[in-house]
Amino acid sequence: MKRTFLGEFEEIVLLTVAILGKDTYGVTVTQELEQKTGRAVGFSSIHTTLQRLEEKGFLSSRMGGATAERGGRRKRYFEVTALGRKALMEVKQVREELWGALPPDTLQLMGG
Amino acid sequence: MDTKNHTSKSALPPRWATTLLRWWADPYTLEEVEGDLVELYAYWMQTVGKRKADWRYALSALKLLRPFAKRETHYPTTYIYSLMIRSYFKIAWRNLLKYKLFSLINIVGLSLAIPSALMALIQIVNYYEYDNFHQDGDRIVRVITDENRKEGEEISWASSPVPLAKHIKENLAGVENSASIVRDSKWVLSNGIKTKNIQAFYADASFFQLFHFPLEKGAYPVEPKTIVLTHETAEWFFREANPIGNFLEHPKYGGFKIVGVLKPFNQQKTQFRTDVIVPIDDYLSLHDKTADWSTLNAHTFLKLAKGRTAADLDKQLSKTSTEINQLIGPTATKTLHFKAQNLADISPAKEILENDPYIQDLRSIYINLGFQLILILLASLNYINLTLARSMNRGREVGVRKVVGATKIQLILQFLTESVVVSYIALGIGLFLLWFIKNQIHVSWLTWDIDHLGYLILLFFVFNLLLGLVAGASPSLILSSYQPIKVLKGKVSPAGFGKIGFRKSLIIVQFTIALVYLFFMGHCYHQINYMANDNENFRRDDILTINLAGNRNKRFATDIHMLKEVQKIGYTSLNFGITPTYSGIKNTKNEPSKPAFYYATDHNFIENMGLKIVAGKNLAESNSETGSPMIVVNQKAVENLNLGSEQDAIGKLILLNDTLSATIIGVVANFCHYDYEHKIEPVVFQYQPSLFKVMCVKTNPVEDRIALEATLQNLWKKHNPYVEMNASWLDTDMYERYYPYEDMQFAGMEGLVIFVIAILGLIGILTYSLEKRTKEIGIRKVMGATAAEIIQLMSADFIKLLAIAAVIAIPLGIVVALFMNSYLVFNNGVSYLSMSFLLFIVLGIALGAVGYFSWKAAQTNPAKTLKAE
Repeated sequence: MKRTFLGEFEEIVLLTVAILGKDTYGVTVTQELEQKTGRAVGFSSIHTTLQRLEEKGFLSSRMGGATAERGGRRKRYFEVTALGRKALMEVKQVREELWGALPPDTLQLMGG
Repeated sequence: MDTKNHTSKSALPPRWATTLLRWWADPYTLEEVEGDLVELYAYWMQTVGKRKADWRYALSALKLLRPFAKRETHYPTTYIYSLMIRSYFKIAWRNLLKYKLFSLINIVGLSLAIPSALMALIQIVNYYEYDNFHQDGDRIVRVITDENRKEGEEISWASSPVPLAKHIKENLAGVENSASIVRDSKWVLSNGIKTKNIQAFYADASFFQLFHFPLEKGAYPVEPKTIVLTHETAEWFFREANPIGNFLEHPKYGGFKIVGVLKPFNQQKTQFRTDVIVPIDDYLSLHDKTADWSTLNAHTFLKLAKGRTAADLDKQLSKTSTEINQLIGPTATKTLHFKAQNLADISPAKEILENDPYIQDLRSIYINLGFQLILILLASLNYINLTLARSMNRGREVGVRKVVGATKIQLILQFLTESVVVSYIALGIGLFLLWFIKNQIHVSWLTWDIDHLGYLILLFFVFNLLLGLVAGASPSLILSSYQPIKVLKGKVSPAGFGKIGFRKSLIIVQFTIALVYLFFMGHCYHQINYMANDNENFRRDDILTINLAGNRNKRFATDIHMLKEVQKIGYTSLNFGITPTYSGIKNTKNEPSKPAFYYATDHNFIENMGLKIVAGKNLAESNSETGSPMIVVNQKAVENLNLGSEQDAIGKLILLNDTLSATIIGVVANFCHYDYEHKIEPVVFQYQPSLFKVMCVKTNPVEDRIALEATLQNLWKKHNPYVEMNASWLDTDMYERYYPYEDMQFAGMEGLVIFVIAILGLIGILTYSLEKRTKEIGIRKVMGATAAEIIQLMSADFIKLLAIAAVIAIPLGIVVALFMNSYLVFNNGVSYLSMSFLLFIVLGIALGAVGYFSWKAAQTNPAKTLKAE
């Protein structure tokens, strides 16, 4: 199987884009992640990750129309592509398999 | 999430971070990144406060910089694409063709101005190539001298004491060879037939080991009283005959035997310009100077051993200086300090040194270039002016281009391309003109023989690029900053600089410069004409001088006296016009002699020369073979000897050359007998037949001089079968000597160029302003104005400008002429006639152009011009 590598941060960003749906651009992704993970995420890392995901084909983007806010600068909206969805599914599956392989009382021991 | 409400105008993100972002971030995503950051900044302001918001903003921006990343290539914002460049040239070319008259004016003006600037560049390159043809030139240094006078004055000399070269060679280590030369630019040599004022220098034999002046034949001079001639001098004296072994006579120092002839070399490319080279021992014996350390007459050259530098030598020289200063003696009023200067550093001189012949210093070189650049400046001002005049038409183009999306830089480049294209077309024509000048006109001060031709060509191209950029700079900046909305609405008037009327002042400036230059030329011509032709100083028309060839030729004189053309035959030691020899005069035995020029002549010579006798009488007529103690002097001699009035001087006894006591029997008015720049000095005429060298024959004004010469030749042959007769007409001699035809030709050309450029500028502005007033002319004609009225109206402005130029130029021209005359003791005054003639020509042609174009405009059919709107 051809394996598309998805880094941990990439996975989270991709997932966030999927969650946000229509109104996904740099700012919303940053804020969402900040709220969900509870830690300050650098905008620059979000931006570069979004770019990278698009290069890999997991995201597609389009420029929005000009608005009066933010000095008339347009926004770049992101959307998860079919490939991106497939990658997310794969990752989820791998995780679930791994969780499933875990002996039931191990976690409790570790947590103990 | 809606962030709109958070945006507050009072809090702005750090500007420097935004700027950095714009310069260095990925241009492909710049827009959304900037927007996102603005939004986030507002959000951060709300959540974490301004300080942290600033910090986060800056940090994010910094992290997004990618200074070394490759820019996205599919997003062109640059203007150096081959397509764009091609477009610049295409549009530039179309514009040239569209405005043919203006292009023609610009190109012609520039191409006329270019050759002289290029010539100045060639000259500068040549100055850097002086004396680069000597073997091991990098090891040759010249010793220069700083003289500190007791009074505190400091003088830097290029020269050094005569015995220094020998002293250094004997006493300093690391000096391989040394040579010294002593220049004497006032030599006179004669082969009995022809006499020539020449330049000489004395040099020791090692000079030829240090410097590369190969022999054509013979040997280098070593023995005293021997000389080596340059190729040209040998040819002048002996034509094809072999000069080796022949003698040339110096009026003071006697005969010199020719032992060698140098191969031809380009005198313009060396500081060792000369006609003959004499052994330095002759200088020492002729001038009786064996160990003179205090006069700095020599130029000392040293060849250092391998690996030694001028700096090494400097240290040794400071010790030598101390020794020499002791030799001069502590009582001397000066101390000398010797320094070494590399051969390559001599020309061009960074600082001006005394006694440094044929070396130009940097400052005067660049002043000369600057003068040539004025010409170029005038032509490029035409360009600027005409381009701005057309700014209306171009303004619309700029507006449309800007609306379609051209950036300012692109527009500037478009206009610069146009000016550069014009300048290179002009360079092409200019080079052609230069080639023409090279082949047709001899320019005495310039050598075309340049070693680094590639460098020169590069210099030409760079120069022209600069020219194009300079000429295009202001039009391109002004035109490219037009606001499209204004231009397209038709609200912009032609551009200019301020309100004083740049265009008008330009015409005034151009015509003033043209007029002043032409006045200057006119004055030069006036003075040269005076010097080259018969003038009041002495008669030169119909005077034939025949060289006596060592014998007085009395019987020949009797024979030619029979000819009806011959009026009077006189004798002299030297013709007027050549630097005469000095003698000393004084009143009494115990006072020092005063210098006076000395001529041995007879009665007839003074009459033939038409000298004005102001007191007493001429020398007595005599045919005797012995000299007479009766002398005639000029007014200056009377003044210098304090003899009172000219009348008082008659009959006074003076001492001539310390020994002969001579009686003044006549006084002649002061006159210029050889050099117009030279101050008036005493002159003595004495009857002394043993010194006669030249027969001076006054003839009738003869039509056929050649026939007369032939007749004389036959008679000469009868008495002197073995010697050629050598005769020449004084007026043609003097004319050839003083009339620098080729330089005049060049200077005249330059004057013409300035004038043509001025006229072209005038025509350009004239046609433009008439074009703009076409409608006005049409309406006036319809309303009943006559052609004459229209011509008057249209030309009034220009006539005013020309009048102002003339009013400024006339006093300037007079000042220039007076200034030049202050250097010439014998001058011909200021020629108001030639000035008014030139003024008449210049203004006549300018007014003719104004009149012609106005007339043409007045002839247009109003029905046609008004229909166009």
